Amino acid sequence: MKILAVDDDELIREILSATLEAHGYTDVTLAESGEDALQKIAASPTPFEGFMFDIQMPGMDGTELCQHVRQMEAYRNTPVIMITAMNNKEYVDRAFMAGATDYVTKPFDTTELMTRIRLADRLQAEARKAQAAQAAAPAAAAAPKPPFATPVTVKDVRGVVKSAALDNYVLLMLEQKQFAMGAFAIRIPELEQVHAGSDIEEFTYVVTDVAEVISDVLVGAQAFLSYIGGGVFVCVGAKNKLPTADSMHDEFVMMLNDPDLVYCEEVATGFSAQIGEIAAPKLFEKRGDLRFLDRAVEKLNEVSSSTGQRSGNGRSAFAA
Amino acid sequence: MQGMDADKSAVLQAGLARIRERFISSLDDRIEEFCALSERLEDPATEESACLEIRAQAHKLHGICGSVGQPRMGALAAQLEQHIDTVIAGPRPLNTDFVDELLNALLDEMEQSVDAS
Repeated sequence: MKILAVDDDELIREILSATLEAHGYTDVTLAESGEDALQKIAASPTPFEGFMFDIQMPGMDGTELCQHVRQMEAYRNTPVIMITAMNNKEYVDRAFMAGATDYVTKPFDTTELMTRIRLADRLQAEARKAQAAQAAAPAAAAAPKPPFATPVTVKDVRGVVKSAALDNYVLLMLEQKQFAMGAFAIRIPELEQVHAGSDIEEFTYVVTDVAEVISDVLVGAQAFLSYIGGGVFVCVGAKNKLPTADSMHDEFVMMLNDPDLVYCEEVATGFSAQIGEIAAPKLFEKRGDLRFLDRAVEKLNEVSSSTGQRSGNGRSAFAA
Repeated sequence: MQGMDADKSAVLQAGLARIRERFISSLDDRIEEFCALSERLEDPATEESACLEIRAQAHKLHGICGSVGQPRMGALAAQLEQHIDTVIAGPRPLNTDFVDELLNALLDEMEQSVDAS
């Protein structure tokens, strides 16, 4: 994997380089600032396959650099690991909002650092395979539409991240014990009808519109959300800031049915919403335990089953 | 070390040892810089910018110390960094008394590391 590592501290750059090289990652470029990184990206004859950005640097910080990189078509899905020595939620939130996929904390734990790099390597390899398969397909129209349970990628909506990035964010927040976390899930049953009656592009537009409405409703809660497939979104944030199902339902459904906000050309439909109760980590669960996210989906399924709709248990039921 | 053969692990350890040595040799300059900033802290006209620069330097130390075998120095730097965040977010004029104390504790630790090397 060709990696660009950016940190303003020369010794940190050397530690990264020595550690990566010793573990077989020999194609590592180092940059001392955000500006230097952008120059090296522009000058690179072949694209980088993974990035490591220090969050806090003088001049352009790692978050701003991440935003710049995400705007480049070639790097929209490239893994970006943020490097942080701080436990300030605001910095971490901004980094994930800017498109970061993972993080490592300073001082580096070698095992942890390499686990993150290998995970990024695997994600990048999978993305390459998917791209190659897409390029090999005779025409987009001929490619089979992914099933309804498969997540589609929602881009450029505040607070919306991929499922893997959401897990990484939650892990970081649990590790830093900054606040009590909570999660809840939302299902839009009519998305199944939209999926059946439209192509994948149109379906993705509608899912993105719905994500935008959820993001707007949650703006004060500073929450993150992810579309996990099957018409279900999982939302995560500080438990005491998340709205309850009752308090958000009516306003949310009203916004969903505003044709200026969510519009499907192919399928005429009114939208409803099922909102699960908030689930939180249990006292006996270890810090890296993400089972409360599964419980959020199970709580949604309890709501769905009372209205005659149910789709599996936990998040794995929606995995691609 | 996990996932590495003995040769590579030895090369890495040797590389990290060199980085640790370079860190220790950099401490004199870092101490000097902190001392200069400490003086600026006493002047109300420059105390805020001095605070921000001390924070930036402390942040760097916090990031590197744990990786070069200086966890106590890292913890003191982190404490200083966090306290400055609180001070900067607070009312003006700034109360930098505790910044000074934390900085002195950090400087003591840095000097001890230089002496021990």
